Parts: sequence; structure tokens; C-alpha cells
Amino acid sequence: MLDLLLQAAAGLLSPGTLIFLFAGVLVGLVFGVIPGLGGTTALALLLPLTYGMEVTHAFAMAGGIMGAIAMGGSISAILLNAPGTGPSAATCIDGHPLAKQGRAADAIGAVATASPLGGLFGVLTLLLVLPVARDIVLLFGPPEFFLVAVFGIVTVAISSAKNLLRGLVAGGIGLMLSFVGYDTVHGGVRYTFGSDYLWDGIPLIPSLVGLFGMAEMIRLSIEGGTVAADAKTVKLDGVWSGVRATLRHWKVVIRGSIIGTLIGAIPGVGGTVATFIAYSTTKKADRDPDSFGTGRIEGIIAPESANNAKDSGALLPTLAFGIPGSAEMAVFLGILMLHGMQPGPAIFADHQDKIYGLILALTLSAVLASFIGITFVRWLAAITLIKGQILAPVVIAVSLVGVYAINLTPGDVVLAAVIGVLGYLMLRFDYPRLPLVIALILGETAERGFQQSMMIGNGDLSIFVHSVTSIILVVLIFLSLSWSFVPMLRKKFAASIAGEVP
Amino acid sequence: MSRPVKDKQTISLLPSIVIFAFIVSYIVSGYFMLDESTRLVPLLAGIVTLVLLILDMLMTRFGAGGDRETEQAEGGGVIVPESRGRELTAILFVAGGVAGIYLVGFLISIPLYLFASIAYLGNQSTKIALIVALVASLLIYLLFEVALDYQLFPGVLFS
Amino acid sequence: MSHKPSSRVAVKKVVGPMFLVALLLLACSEPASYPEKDITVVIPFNSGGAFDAYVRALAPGLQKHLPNSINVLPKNLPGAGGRRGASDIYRARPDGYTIGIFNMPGVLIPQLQGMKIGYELSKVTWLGTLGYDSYVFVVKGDSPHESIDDLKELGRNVTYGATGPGSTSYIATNIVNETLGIPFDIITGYKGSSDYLLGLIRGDFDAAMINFSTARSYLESGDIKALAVFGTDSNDPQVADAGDLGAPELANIRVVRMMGAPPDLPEDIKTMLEEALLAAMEDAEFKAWLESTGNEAHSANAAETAAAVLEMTEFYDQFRQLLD
Repeated sequence: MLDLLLQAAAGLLSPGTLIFLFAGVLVGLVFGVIPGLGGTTALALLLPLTYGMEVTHAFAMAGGIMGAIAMGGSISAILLNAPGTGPSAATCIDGHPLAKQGRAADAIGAVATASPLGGLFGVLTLLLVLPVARDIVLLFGPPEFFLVAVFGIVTVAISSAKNLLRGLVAGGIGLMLSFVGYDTVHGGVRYTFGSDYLWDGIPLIPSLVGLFGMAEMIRLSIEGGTVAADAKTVKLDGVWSGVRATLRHWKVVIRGSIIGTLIGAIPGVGGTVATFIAYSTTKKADRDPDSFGTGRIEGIIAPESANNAKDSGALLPTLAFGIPGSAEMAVFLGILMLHGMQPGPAIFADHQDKIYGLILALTLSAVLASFIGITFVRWLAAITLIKGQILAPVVIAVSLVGVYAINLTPGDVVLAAVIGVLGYLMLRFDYPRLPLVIALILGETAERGFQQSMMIGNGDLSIFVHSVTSIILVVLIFLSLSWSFVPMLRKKFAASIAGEVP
Repeated sequence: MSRPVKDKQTISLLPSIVIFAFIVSYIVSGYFMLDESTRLVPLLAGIVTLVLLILDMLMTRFGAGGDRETEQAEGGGVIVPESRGRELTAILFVAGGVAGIYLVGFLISIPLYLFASIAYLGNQSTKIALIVALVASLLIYLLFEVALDYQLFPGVLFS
Repeated sequence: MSHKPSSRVAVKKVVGPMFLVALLLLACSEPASYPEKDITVVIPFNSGGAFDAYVRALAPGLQKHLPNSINVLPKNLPGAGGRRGASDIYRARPDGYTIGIFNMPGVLIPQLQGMKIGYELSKVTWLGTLGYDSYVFVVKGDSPHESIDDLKELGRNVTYGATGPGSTSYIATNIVNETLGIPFDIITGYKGSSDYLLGLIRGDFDAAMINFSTARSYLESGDIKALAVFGTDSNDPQVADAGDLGAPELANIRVVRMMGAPPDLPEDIKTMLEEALLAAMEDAEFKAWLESTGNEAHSANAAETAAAVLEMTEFYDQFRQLLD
């Protein structure tokens, strides 16, 4: 393996290939920054262009795009609360408050460090695990999918500790919305009221762009001012303190990377879930979880590490079986097909050198993207000084165009705006948005996993504790629940003993 | 910036009632429109959410009340806007922009939306509004139509 | 001779003929001007799938065989299981600048179910067939079953995996099992063919019907094993085909990739497209691509395609009660 890696590295570092890599990084950054556009769209645009390109060049460009998207998405998440991509939404939560405090540069520095570290960790894990990749992918069937979905929903719903009831209501609404569309299990079409647009369900990216980005911009245009609350506090050169913060919190980096790789490897669950879970677990494991959301730097280190690690995770089922681990991987397989490479179990064996080239391109791209981010950090942080009344309409306009560009459907534009208003109202009336998002993403997976498990197991509930993986997941869910409830109960208990009113 | 919640008036039950109505219509329409097998789980989710909502409404009305210290999470926290009118205007501007995009397409609506929002909603000078509207629209056009070769939606009236 | 004013002479001698020539040019240029601009080929699925790959592999050849060096531009319009793309093609202007690929019988089934869709397949201007994908009846690679009869002897319902009710995999499984008299249950809900392929390898159920292009590399790697094939003849004595199973009508079960244009396309444009399509499919590069991806070359012209559509409609209509 090592000699193949070196060979691939030599191939990658040739000037011709590097140009393609660099072009990919730039494209990835731009597509990552613009809300709505993302890795899948970028790769889909790249696909036809690769016709006639050498495979190594196409892979270098694809790797460049995939590795840089995360950085681009984080930039708009931090500066504008408008996630450039789904997985970046988790970075908004603590990233944007940092920007508001004038510490956008810190945040960007932290993110720029966490990204390549997470990516590197993911790649190393991938290379280590590759020999047993098949077995790992086969560990996850409908019961496990159900349990993972439940774990995701529970983790995030419970993380809104102080506002638990409203968090659960928001989660419930998210669940209800996730059931809109075609039900693959029973074949019925739910809540589309005849429209074809909703047939595939409520689309995720327009929802995220609306819920986080547009909602925040609407709020900004109402309240006025600038993103950074007080222009005087903006530190345009805080970037290195951000970098040091990430290195200091290396344990958070590792935790985020592990979660990113693992969850990224489960086909169909998605990178957004990975970053949200990385965020929520870091928050819960912290001494002061309630301060998360006010601008805790760990709150962006964790999801960002996960964000880059997930790409390596997604490669696992893709390389093991030729089954795409994520939407981006699906398009990537299309590039393979165009070049006459057949996706399947043999894909890694047949094209090892080119795949190693891709993996290296991914890693290098994350580093390059970070460099670019750090180089321009002053300019980027200065965005927080732009008057909100000018910034907000521009961001809203760009978001609407970006969202349209995903699928060329005007319905997406309307949906993003409607959900943007909904997001604003949730902000206004104090309903946490995270549980809604995670339930929206995972609701259908949970339902499908459950129904299919019942069919496979003939209605026997023991199928959920049948395999080692499922048992581990059940234990994790219980741990997660007790971790939140036990301290709460203990506090109440202690309070009542001390004679205070609980 | 958001100010901390101090008075009960800002915690009206109105949003809860709206959500209540939404959940009820979800349950009812699901019951009548869908087959038994496919409506089972959505209806279940709807009912559980309804129960949680009712609990929340009760707690708001009779419970801890005033000092609802909410999470600062997600950049949130209860917002107390200057005026309801301003909120509504801001939302209407966005709605107008989207309606414009739907009817006459991006190339006409985006400059108009930007100009109107910056000049009227944002109370900036007309000159700045005009410049930003034109420059931003041009950049959007160059990036999407020229560089990326997308055909920006021309609006239902023109297609 | 009388002297006419020179201007009058000029008009008669120069402008007149010029005018006639212009008229002539105008008259001749009209029909020969197609294609004047780029042609869009609608793909009803996302980038990365087999339909997408086929169109993109074919597009350069199509471009080459059409006059006036215009571009052929693939456009992905995914949604509603292929119906969005289909209705988009159907509703486009019949000027030859929008054509597309249809997944059959995928988009046929909702039409037979009486769903409200935006198209009527018998009215589509069919241009040709790019290929078809037969359905393989597979079990896990290390399964003890060697034939469909072995499955019958299980003494319980044979379990299959499929995507959603109404999908081609579901219908195919239904039709085959009903015709062969096998008691069965279908575990629905898998998101795509790759997902239930994985489910089969994992052991979620006994067997599945998968289209050959997806299954091919897994058959080669031994992860799955074919017991029967439908939609084509079997060259392998270990693998039964419709005839071997005593149900020749099942030979119709396969996915067909058909190219079509909006209804009422002018005849000359249709012919031009049809010929370009057939020529492109004979191109060396396209054939090489088919070879390296393991797809078989099966093309058909417009008339054959239109006839096949009617045949397919009749065939699946028979099983209408299974479709709901």
C-alpha cells in the first residue's frame, strides 16, 4: 500500500495535476460559500467537463472540490449564519455568535485548522480500515439504521436542555415534515396535495438555507446594525488565536473526526447528521454545556473536524461495494462511469492507484483551502462590519439564486423563503431549530428502518438487539438519555433535600 | 441584539395556537387522505407532538412564567423587535421578492428587490441602494449565467 | 430603340433578380436550417446513475452526426421517480430542441395506475432505443440455493427486497412470482437498487430481482449469484431464462432506455434525430464505452421503439391488479 501511495503522490504533485487540484479547491470554496450550492452541485457541474479529461486530472479536481467545500461552507456559516452546505449548519450555532462578538477571525482560524486535521484523521482511519471495509458496511441494516436515526434525534433533541419541551415540539414538527412525500415502504404519497414538487419530500438544502441563513438575515434586516454587534470589538487578526485554540482542544478534534468518519460511512445518513451529532456530543461532554451557542470555540472545532472526516467515511461503502456513501459520492461514481470504470465491489481493486490519488487530493485540498481561508481572513472578517441593511438583502438574494441552482426548480426558491420566515418565527418565539432540522433529516430514515425491520423480523422486536452493532447502539441511546436526565433529576433531588422548592 | 425577556406580554400563546392548528390539520388531513398503513407513523408523531405542545402551553400559561431564560443557542434567544410593523414589512419584502422571482424571473426581480430592500426597508441612501443592487445583480449574473452556464429562471410569465 | 431611364433599367436588371434569388434562398433555407441551436437532452435522474451515464456517453456522438455543429447538452431533471423528466419532455415545444430519455417501464406504470402524470406515452414521438437492461433473479453468493425450485421448497414465503410499491423492481418481483406460483413476501422501502442489493448480501431477505447493469460487477465478484434472468436469453446453463422456466411471457421483464421527443414532432426533424441516434450508437467510442462498463449493445429505431412501447403497455396492463 505504501508504494502505491507514494506513486499516487508523485502523480498528484505533477504540475498538470496540481492545476486541476487547485482549480477544484477554488470551485469548492466558491460553491461552499454560496448558500444552496454545495459539493453535489459542484461535482454534477464538473461531471460533463471531465469527458475527455484524463482520469487523474478529473480525480484531482473532484478531490479538490470535495475537500474545499467544507471550508467554504463554514465561512458563510460563521459570517452570515447562512450555511453554505448542509453539514456546515452545525458550525453556525457557535460560529455566528463568535462573529457577532467580533471574533470572526478567531473562528475562521479555528475552522481552518480543524478542517485539515479532521480530513487527515479521516483519511488515516479510512486507509487503516479499508481491508475490513466490506464487513463494516454490512454491519448496518434496517435495524441499525433505525437505531442510528433514533440516536441522532435523541442526542440533538436532548441537547436543548433548558428549553427541552419546546425542543421536543420542534423535533416533533420536524418529524411530521419529514414524512411528506412518497413513502417507499407502503407506496403512498403523503401530504403533497397533488404537487409533484413535494413528491420526493421536503428538500433539505433549501430548508437549511432558509431556516438558518435567511432567518438570520431577516432578523438582521429588522434589527439593523452589523453582524458584529460592536464594531470596536472586531479583532481582524485573531486568526492565530483561533488556530492555537484548535490545537489546544485536540481531544475535541479527535472526537469530531471519529464521529464524522463513522457516521459518514453509514450510507444515506449524511454529513449533516455527522456534524450535528459531533456538535451535540461535544456540548454534552463539556463542563458547561449551556454556554454552547454563545460562541464556544469547541462548538465549531467539533463539527468542522467531522465535516472533513465524513468525506473519508463516505468513501468506505463507495470503495467497498461501489455503493455511494453520500450524494457527492453518487455523482463521483458517475464520473467513474463516464470514464468507463464500473462501480462495484471490484472498483478499489481495479483502480487502486487512481483512488489513492483521489484520497490524497482530498487531504491536500483541505490544507489548501485552509491556507486560502487564512490568507483572506481579514477581508472575510470585515464582512461582519458591513451594514446589515445592505448585507441582508444581498445574502438573501444570493441564497435564493443558489437554492434555485441546485435543481433548477422555482419551488425550491419559494420553499427556502417560506422556511426562512418559519425560521425567523422560531427565533422570535423561542423554538430551537436544531431538533427540527435533525428530525427532518432522520425522520424518514427512522420510520423506514423500523418498518423494514418489522418486515424482515416478522414483527419480532428482538431484531433490534439481534446484532452486536444494534446492541451497542441501544446502549448508546440509553447512555445519551441518562446522561441528560440523571443530572437533571439529581439536581432536583438535591434541591428538595436541601429544602428548596424544585 | 436580543434583549433578555422581562415581561410576560412577549410570551403570548399565539404562536402555540398556530402550531396547534397546524398539527391538528396535519392529523385530520392525514387521517382522511391516507391509507391506514401509510398514515400510522405520521399520525402517531402528530399526536405525540400535540401532547407535548399542550404541555408547553400549560407551562407557559401557568408555570414558571416570566423569566423564561432561553438558550442563547443557534444565535437565538427571544427577540423583542422594535415594532411588529417592522417585522411584517421585512417579511413582506422577502415575500415580494420571491413572488417577483416566480412571476418575472431572477434577472428582473433581484435588482428590484435589492434596491427596494436597501433603500426603503433599510433606510439607506438611494445612491447606495442603486449601486449595490446593480453591482450585486451583475455579479450574480456573471457567476451563474456566464461562468456556470445556468439558465436563471425567467419567471412563469415568460416561459 | 427607345431610351428608358437608366434607373428603371437598373431596377429591372439588378434588383429584380436579386429579389428572386433572395426569395429562393429563403424558401430553401427553412427546412434545412434545423438544428440551428443547441439541443437539450433531458435525463430524468441525477448525475451518477446509469441513465445519466448513457446519455453523456452518447451525446458527443449525437453531436457529431447532426449537421451545423450545434451542441447536444444533457440536462438532469430528477424527481418523482423519473416522472418529472418525462413530463418535461412531453410538454416541451415539438421543435426538435428538447428530447430526452425515458425509463421504461418505470414511467409507464404510474400511467397504467391512472395517476395524474404530465404525459401520455403512446403520444410521445419515439426516436429510438439506446439499450435494455435485463432483470436478474439473484441470491446471496454463498446461498445454498441453486435454482428457483430450491426456493420453492423452503416451505414458507420466499422473501424479496425491492424499492417502493409500484416501482419496476416491485412489479417485476410480483409478476415473476405470481406467474411461477411461488409464495412470496416483498420487503419494500429500500431507497434504490444498490440499497436492496446490499440488503441481499447482508441477508435481510432471500432473493431479489435486480437489473443487470447494477448487478454485473457483484455477480463477477461472487457477492451474489444469478438463478435466472429475464428479458434476455441465458447463455449460462446454470442460469434459467423465461423459456427454461416455462413462462416465455416473462421475457418482457426488463428496463428499456428509450429516447423520445414531444408529441407531433415534424417528420423530417424526427428522421434526422433518429438517424443521428442510430449512427451515434454505432460509433466506435460508444461501443468501446459499452464494453468497458459491461453494458450490452442493443439499439432499435423509431418504429421498433414505438411498437415496443405499445407491446409493453399491453403486457403490464395485464397485471393491473398487481400494480396497486
